[in-house]
Parts: sequence; structure tokens; C-alpha cells
Amino acid sequence: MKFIIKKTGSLIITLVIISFLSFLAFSLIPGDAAVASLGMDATEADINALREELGLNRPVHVQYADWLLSALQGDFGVSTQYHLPVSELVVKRLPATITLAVYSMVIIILVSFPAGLLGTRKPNGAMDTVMTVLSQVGMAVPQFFLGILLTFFFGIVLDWFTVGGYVGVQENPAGFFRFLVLPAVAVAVPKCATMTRYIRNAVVAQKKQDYVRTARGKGNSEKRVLLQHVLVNVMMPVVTMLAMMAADVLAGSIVVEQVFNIPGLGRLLITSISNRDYPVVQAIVVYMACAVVIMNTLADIAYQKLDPRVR
Amino acid sequence: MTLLQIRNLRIAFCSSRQADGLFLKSTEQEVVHGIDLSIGQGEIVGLVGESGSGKSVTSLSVMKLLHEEAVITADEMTFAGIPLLSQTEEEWQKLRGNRISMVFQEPMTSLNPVLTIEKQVEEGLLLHEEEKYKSNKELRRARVLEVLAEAGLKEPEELLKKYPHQLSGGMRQRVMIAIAMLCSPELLIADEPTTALDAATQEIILKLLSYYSETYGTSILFISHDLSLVARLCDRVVVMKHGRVVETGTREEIFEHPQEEYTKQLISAAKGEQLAEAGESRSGVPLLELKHAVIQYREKNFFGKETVTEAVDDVSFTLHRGEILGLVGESGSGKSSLSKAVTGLLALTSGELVLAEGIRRPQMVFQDPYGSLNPAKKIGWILEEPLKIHGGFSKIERKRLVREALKEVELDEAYAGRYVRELSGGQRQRVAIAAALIQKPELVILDEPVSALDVTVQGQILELLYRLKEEHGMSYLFVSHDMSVIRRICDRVLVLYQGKLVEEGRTEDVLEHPQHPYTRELLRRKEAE
Repeated sequence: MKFIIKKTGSLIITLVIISFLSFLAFSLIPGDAAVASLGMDATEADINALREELGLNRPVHVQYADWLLSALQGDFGVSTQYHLPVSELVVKRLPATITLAVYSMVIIILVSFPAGLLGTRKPNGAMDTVMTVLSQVGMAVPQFFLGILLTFFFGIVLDWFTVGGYVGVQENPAGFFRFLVLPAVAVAVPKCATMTRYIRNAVVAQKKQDYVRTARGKGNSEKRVLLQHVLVNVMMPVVTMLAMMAADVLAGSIVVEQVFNIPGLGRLLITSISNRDYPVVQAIVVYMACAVVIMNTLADIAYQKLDPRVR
Repeated sequence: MTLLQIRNLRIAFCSSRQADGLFLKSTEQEVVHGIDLSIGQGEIVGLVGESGSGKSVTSLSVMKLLHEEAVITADEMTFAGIPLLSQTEEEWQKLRGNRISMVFQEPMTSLNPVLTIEKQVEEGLLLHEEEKYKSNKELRRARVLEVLAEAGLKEPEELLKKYPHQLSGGMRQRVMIAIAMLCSPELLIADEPTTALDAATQEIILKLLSYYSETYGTSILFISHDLSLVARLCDRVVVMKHGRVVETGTREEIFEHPQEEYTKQLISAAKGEQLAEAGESRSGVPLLELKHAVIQYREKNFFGKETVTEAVDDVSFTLHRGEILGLVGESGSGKSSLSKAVTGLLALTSGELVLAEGIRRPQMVFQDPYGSLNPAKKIGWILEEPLKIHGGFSKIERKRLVREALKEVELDEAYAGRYVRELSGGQRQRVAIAAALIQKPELVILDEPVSALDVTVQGQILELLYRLKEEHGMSYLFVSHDMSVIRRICDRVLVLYQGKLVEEGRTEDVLEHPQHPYTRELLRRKEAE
């Protein structure tokens, strides 16, 4: 319990530091929101007036404190390209990205565990070699290509879904959830491949440990050795890896959202960067940092529960 | 009645896979060359040999716990009338842990680090015992507490929810024995069960094993490199070397009237006899002088507060040309800091280190050659490296020097093409010595050079070191905690205790008439082993 409180404390400190650094970075980039919203033709006086109005003339730390206070109340400012509150924009994009993330994590877990264990019975045997080749292919295929392939096969050849036919969760919940399955596969495949390989290597390494010989010496079957003895030890590094992947998919996949035409965070980020919509970019950076830091904290807590030696 | 009967057992490994044209060709390497072994009901048989003799492999083959690449053949291999080689995997699972069980050398790694003691002990009940245990946790717990108590663990209730890392080495080994004895096996195989333990705990584990043998009539196959342990426990002894049985006999036959040269060597090594010529080789010419040496470690914490640890406190000594000077002390006595300072790896905080004029840089040989030799490089490369760094040798000359150095340490030239992992512990230490030797040093610091080795290999390495010293007129600073090794090779000895020099003198004088209570304590402990 004390550990969890301590972890939460350091989590908050990390988030404040990240948000400040990103704020600082944006204030250092030439061309601010005033220039961006008025365009290149605006007069110096107009720009200055707008700067005054937006509070851009104040020192960075004052601006940051101001931003942080409003951010804590859920106000991340107003988007310069859409003239809508940032929080509203982001919240609208979240369902697609989060659903995609949850789907792909489920696929990663469901596929990579059995696939990772498949070849470990006889390392370097026929099955292991097949799985190695498959996971190499999975890691090597570019996501956009995979996306196109999936769209072509399931959308055009089999006609299971309308290409580019994204529907919002409010309008058609069933359609929304069904549509996101294929994009999730595209997101998950390379990660499944990595995870499969990772689990396979961890199991093979653990199987060389002395305690496995003890377990066999007790009369355990290979299956029981794997499930009762090896798997608990493998879970520790695997959980850390899973947390990193979860943080990654929660940030939204720019490529996959583009290919399947999904209005998620990844695409919002791209348009905001190209339009210098800094309030939006800033909010997304903070969100991504949150995802990474929270997932790592959860992994630390899980690790602590799994390994008695670090308790 | 014979419980285990083995005739002409051969074990081979499909070891290295080498490219043969397009395909990988696996080569078989036989490590056990047709041995016979039998164990009677209730008998305790000692299997003795050094690392690499095939004794562990043999014992693992009895439970078929070798990895799958192992090829086992035998004219006969029966346990209680069951032909072991034709057992299916399911039949093996019924034997293992039930009728044959095993205790391993390193109890820390042999227990699962993330499962509680209770879970690990009770497992055998779920696998082998009657149905009543499967559904009744209380019953299981009662049996677990019973075996833990029988293995001499006090307050076993306290242990149930603990994990292996929370136990001492001796307790872990008792837990391992409790696991092995849970289902009252007919045969218990104990593979170096006391090697990782201190002398007092070793004694207790031996007593425990004879208790089980007497109480339950359990047959025991006791594997060890340590003849003194075997002499105390076993009825019969089998001596193995290079995968063959050298000699078999009752305890009396082996220890009173050994027939084979190798057995005699093992027995004399266990007694720790002095190297014949050692003792008188002081020239009186100082090679190295240390005057009032002080070594402190300063550590600043986060707030800049400094803590000073004194590792070496006002130590002075002289090392003469042609001398082997022993430096004795426990870990933490400052002997490592001192030897590092002598090689120049660590600066003295105060005091003076005077080396004889024109002396080449002292070389160092470490305890664990496996950790100190680069695993990714071939031996030849490792030996050549210092010559490359210091320059002045052509490629042909370097190759010649490498060949010579290998010859000096009694290794074949072919070893230049091998990797460290392909060598035995003794061979690795020979390579480490060759690496030091190739730079023709006058002074070599040997930091526990034989502590990680078996006794007969220890003897061989000590003899090698002695011969090299004589031939090349070198001097050694020989760091060790082992009094019997010091006795065999050192001319003079220094005793270091908590950073201070507490005793100094001729080896014989110091060991026969120790003055300081700490020296006496060290000697007493050695005797207890």
C-alpha cells in the first residue's frame, strides 16, 4: 500500500515535469499561436494585439502556471484551427483511439501467449522454426501495407465491411465496434510478432534454470512444469513489455487511422501539428505522457505483486 | 537386493552444430564411456570425481533429467526390476519424485523463486499420493509440516508462506531434502548437496542423510568431489574420471588400500600435502615494498555528507625476489583492496609503494577466469591482445608467443582456436595464467586462483604455478582465504584482519604456532571442514 502511494506521488511529479518541458518546447518554436491564427499577411500591430489578448507576452513560467491551473480544471484552451475547446476535440476523438487500443491489446494477449509457447517444447525444432519465421514476417511488414492488404481482402474481396465506412459510436454503436476490428488487427500484428518472440525467448531462457529441473524431478509433466513453474517467472518481464505496448497503442496509431480513415487521436495530432495548433498538440502530448507513465506505474505495481523478491 | 543396476552406460550429447555444406551437421560427443554402477537396498554409495568426470551426468540419467539432446544407451539399466530405458514419459513421471528423487547442489536456484515454500513442498502430494490429499488442504499441510520438521527445520509453520530468498542456504537445502523425501522414495540421489554450504551446515546435512537411510532404508547415491565427506557417509565408493569408472570398492578398500594412482591423488589432495620443494626460496632482494599503506573509500551521499570506509589501515610489508608471499584474510579484510593497489588499479590514500627499479608491470590472475576472460573471443585472441596493446611484435612473433605461453601452461596449441566456454575450470585458469605470463612479468598477483576449482585440479594448478615461478624466477603475491592452499605453496604469510596486518612470518611458523587469536580461528575453521 505504501508502495502504491509512493508510486502515485512520483507519477504526479513526472507528469508535471513532462508537461512543463513540452510547454517550454512549444514556447521556443518560432511563430506562435497569434501568427498562426492571423496568417502571414497580418500587420505587426494586429499580431501584438492578439498576443496581448491571448496572454502570450507574459513570461513562460507564468503562462505555464496559468495553463496548468486551467488544465487541472479540464480546460486546455481553445484550438486555433477549429475554434473549439481543446478538451471537447480530444474527448470526441478518444472513443475510437481507446477502443482500438483495447482491441489490439486483447488480440496481442490472446495471440502471443499461445503462439509464444508453441515452439518452446522443443527449441529450434520444426514448430519453433515456423513460429520464428512467422514472427519475423509479422515484425517486418509495414503497417500501412498490412492495412491496405486487410482492407482489400476483407473489404473488397470478401465484402465484410464498407471501406472507409467509419461510423461514430453515438450514431451506430454496433457498426462502430465491428468496424474497428480490422484496424485493431493491423495495429496488433507487428506487436503480436514482437511479443510472441519475447515470450518464446523468456520461456526458453527460464527452462534452462535449475528450478525447472527440480520441477521435472518431482514428477511434473512438461505441461505442468510450464504452467505451474515457468509461466509465473516469465510473467514478470512480459508484464513490463505489455505495459510499454499498451502505452504505445493508447497514443493512437497515425498510420492505421490514416489508412482506415478513423477520426482518432493520431490523425488529430497530425493535422494539429501541420496547422500549428499548439494548444491541441500540447494537450495530446500530456495525454500520451499520462498513458506512458500510468502504464509503467501499473507495471511496477504488478511486478511487485508478482515477484516476492522485490517486495 | 540390488535396487539400481547399471551396466555399460554410455551418454553422448549432440553438442555442436556445424555447417556442413548447406545443412547443419550435429556431432555427437560421448561423455560417459560405458560405466557400471549398482546400488543395493538401503545402501549409501558415493560417486566421486572432479568436474567433467561425468558423475553428475550419470546421476541425472538415472532420472532421465538430461536435456533432450542426450543419447543414453546401456546394456542394462534397471530400477527395482523396471527397465528404465524403455519407460515412457508418463511412466517416468510416476517414478520421479515418487520412487526416485533428487537433491541438487545449489538450493537457491533449484527452488522456484516466486512460489511459497508450502506450494513447492506440497506439489509431490498432488502428483503422487492418494486422492485424499488432492481435495483436502488441511491434510496436505499436516504432511508438509511433518516432512519439514523431520528435515530439522524448526517452526515449520513460519516457513509455509515464505519464499526461498528469505531462507538461509542451510534451510533451503533442508527444504530441498524435505521435498525429495516427501513421498518416501526408495532411492535418493544427492548431487553435491553440501558444496554450497559452510562446514557446520555440511555436517548437519550429512547427519540428516544418514538418518533417512537408517530410518526408512532409503538407498542413497551421494555425488561429491570431496572425499572427506564420502568417507564419513558412504558404504561403498565409486571413483570416476573422464567418463570412466577408475576404481570401485568398499569405504575401507578405497581409503585404506587404494589401488589406482588417481584415487591416491584424490586422497592426498584431500589431505593437502605440501609441495615438495616449497618453503625455502627467499633471495632477500626486495622486489616490492609497501610502507604504511592506507586505503580509504570515500562516498558522498545525496546531501554531500561524506562517509569514509577504511579498507586498509597502516600496512607495511616487503616482498622478495623469488618469493611466494601469502596474504590471508576473509572477505572484507582488505586483501582485495591491497592486491589492487599493488597492481596499480587502486591508488593508496596515504603511504608508499616502492617497486624494484626497472620492474615490469605486475600481472594479476583472478579467482573466476570465466568472468575475467572475454567470452566472445577465442583464446588465441585473448592471449595476443596485451602484446598488440604494448606493440613491438610482428604478427608471426605474436602467434609464436601465444603458442609458447600455451605450452608453458601445458595446454595444446589447438586451444588458441577455442572459446572460454569450451574449457573446464582448470583449463580456464591455465589460460588466465598464460595471459599473465605472456607479458613476462616479474611479479604476479594471484587473487584466490584456485578457490573455484576441484581439489585435484587445485593441486595441478598449484604445481604449475610453482614450476613456472622456479623456471622464470617470478615472485607471487598469493591471496587466499584457504589455509591448506597457503600451506602448500607459500614461503611466508601475512594475515590481514579488518584492514590491519595482525600476523606475519614463515608459513610453517604461522600455521604451527599462530600468535593472533584471529589466525587461530581461521585454522580452527579449516580443520572443522
